[in-house]
Amino acid sequence: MRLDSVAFRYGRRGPWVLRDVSLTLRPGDIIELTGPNGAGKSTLLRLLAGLHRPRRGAITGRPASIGYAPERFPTDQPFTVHAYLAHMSALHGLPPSAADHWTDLLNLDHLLHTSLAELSKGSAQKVGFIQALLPAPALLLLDEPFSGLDATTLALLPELLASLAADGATIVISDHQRVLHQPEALPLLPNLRQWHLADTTISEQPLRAGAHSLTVTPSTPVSDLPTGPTAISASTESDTVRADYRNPDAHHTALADESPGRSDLPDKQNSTEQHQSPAARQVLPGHAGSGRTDPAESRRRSTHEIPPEHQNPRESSPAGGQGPAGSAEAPPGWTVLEVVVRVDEADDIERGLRAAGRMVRRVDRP
Amino acid sequence: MIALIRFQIDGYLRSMRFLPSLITTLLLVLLVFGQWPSGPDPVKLATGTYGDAAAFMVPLSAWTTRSLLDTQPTVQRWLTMLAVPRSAVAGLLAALVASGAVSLLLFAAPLLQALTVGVPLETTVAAVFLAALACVAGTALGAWTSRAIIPGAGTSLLALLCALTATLLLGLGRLNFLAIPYLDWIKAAHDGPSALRASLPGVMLHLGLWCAVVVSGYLVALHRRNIPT
Repeated sequence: MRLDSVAFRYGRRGPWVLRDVSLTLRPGDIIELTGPNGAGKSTLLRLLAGLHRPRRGAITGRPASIGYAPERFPTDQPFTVHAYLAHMSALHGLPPSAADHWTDLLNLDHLLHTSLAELSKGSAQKVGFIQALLPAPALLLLDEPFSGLDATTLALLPELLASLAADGATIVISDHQRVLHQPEALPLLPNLRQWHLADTTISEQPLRAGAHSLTVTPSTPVSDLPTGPTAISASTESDTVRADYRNPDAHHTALADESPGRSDLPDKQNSTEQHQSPAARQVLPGHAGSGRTDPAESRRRSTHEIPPEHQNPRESSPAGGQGPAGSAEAPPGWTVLEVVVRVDEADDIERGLRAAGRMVRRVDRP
Repeated sequence: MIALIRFQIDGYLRSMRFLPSLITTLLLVLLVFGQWPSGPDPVKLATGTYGDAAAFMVPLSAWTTRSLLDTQPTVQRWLTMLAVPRSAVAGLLAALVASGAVSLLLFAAPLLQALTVGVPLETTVAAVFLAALACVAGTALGAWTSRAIIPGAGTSLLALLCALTATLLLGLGRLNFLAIPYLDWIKAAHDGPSALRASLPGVMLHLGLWCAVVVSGYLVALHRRNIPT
């Protein structure tokens, strides 16, 4: 599928939303669409779907089978979940039971006889997501599909998307939550590409580390550090901990990874640290992980090498309920949020929080 | 396409948006067609009610069509368009089914009266064709004022009322070829069975062409829109 010099605006005299956009989408691609609010991500998805027609240029090679999950699923319809999905299945020439697999997978079975209007935001998103998956689309367009979803579902989706892409689907996702950047997700998505949309143009940006690395030691001048770094992976080497960074725009977070390494490093998986200043950035407690990035800023990455004695064990310790019991202290720039959850959902929530790079301490474990 | 027709009609029924059309139809049946034809020439009177019923079918069908087509929210209509490429045609057919049901209910009383008082069968058959075309004309008019063409609810309602008035008033002047020929068929029907049969070929040709142009224009307008609403 190709976009050749595509331009689009709403109305004959409206401002251009997209200008001179030329892109190629290949089967198996998973494309993450990023950009600030109002940049035109949803518009581009609708153009790709064929719902909007370019004012200039052309889109060719669009597959016949398209799945589109809108940003806000239209719940103001007089159907139950089951009736709606049965109708949508019928539209695709499928039996009413075609959605059963997806409702089971996404844990929507208990809501099948609930009216669409009564669904929570997350459940409505699931219905929107399922209807997009029904036709086994060759082009799957997801507009903020992860918004409002629970941690269990979020953890499922990267593998699901990877599986669809492996079957030849082209997937384009607008996602502010960076679910695809979870440490568990990235290895599953070798074909992940990133398009950044800003100022009416799209640029494709590399996702992986390595292009612009910077080795940092405790003596590295602060001015040489990348601004607002986010650790996305880490490894340990001899006496140092090395963490790769990528520049974010707003989420200045360094996250712990579970890279195998020194046994004396206290739980590298879950340590997090918010970097509000270059000085704070130099404190990287034996960890790394997946983080949030904004390619609008740059692709700068750095490698910090910090001797273990510079690490703050408390910041990196409270994993899996194994942190200091009763500790309620947080590193500088962080705060402690106490949350009480049901026993049966605790594991899922804990896993989700850890995946997002947050420190978690369980009081029901020693 | 059949699946989409079923989807739209199911949504229309579940949403209860059919109630205004249904209540209006029942009121018309009770108040206008409730009186049994009597007097010196009940056949002529009964034939006249055929023409009246067909005229009432136009606004009723237009209203029903607009309600049905507007039942789906805009985003759902997008999803439908992706699933069924000819969703505009399916929407029109669904609207025609709903309008047909309302029209049948409206036509039942005049039909019963005409059969009872002995209106010739050929006249009744001709009146059925006329009613069917009137129903199509109303459906086409309603489709033009649906959200897919006119997004604002208030604007579309105003447009519907203006269009209905225009199609009536245009019949009085030189631009009568643009009008729905209500006046022609009402006059012919009230002149009796033979007058109705005599005028019907011309009326139906006019109405058929009118419907073809308006329906085609609607489909082309939807197809050419850069941004579906």
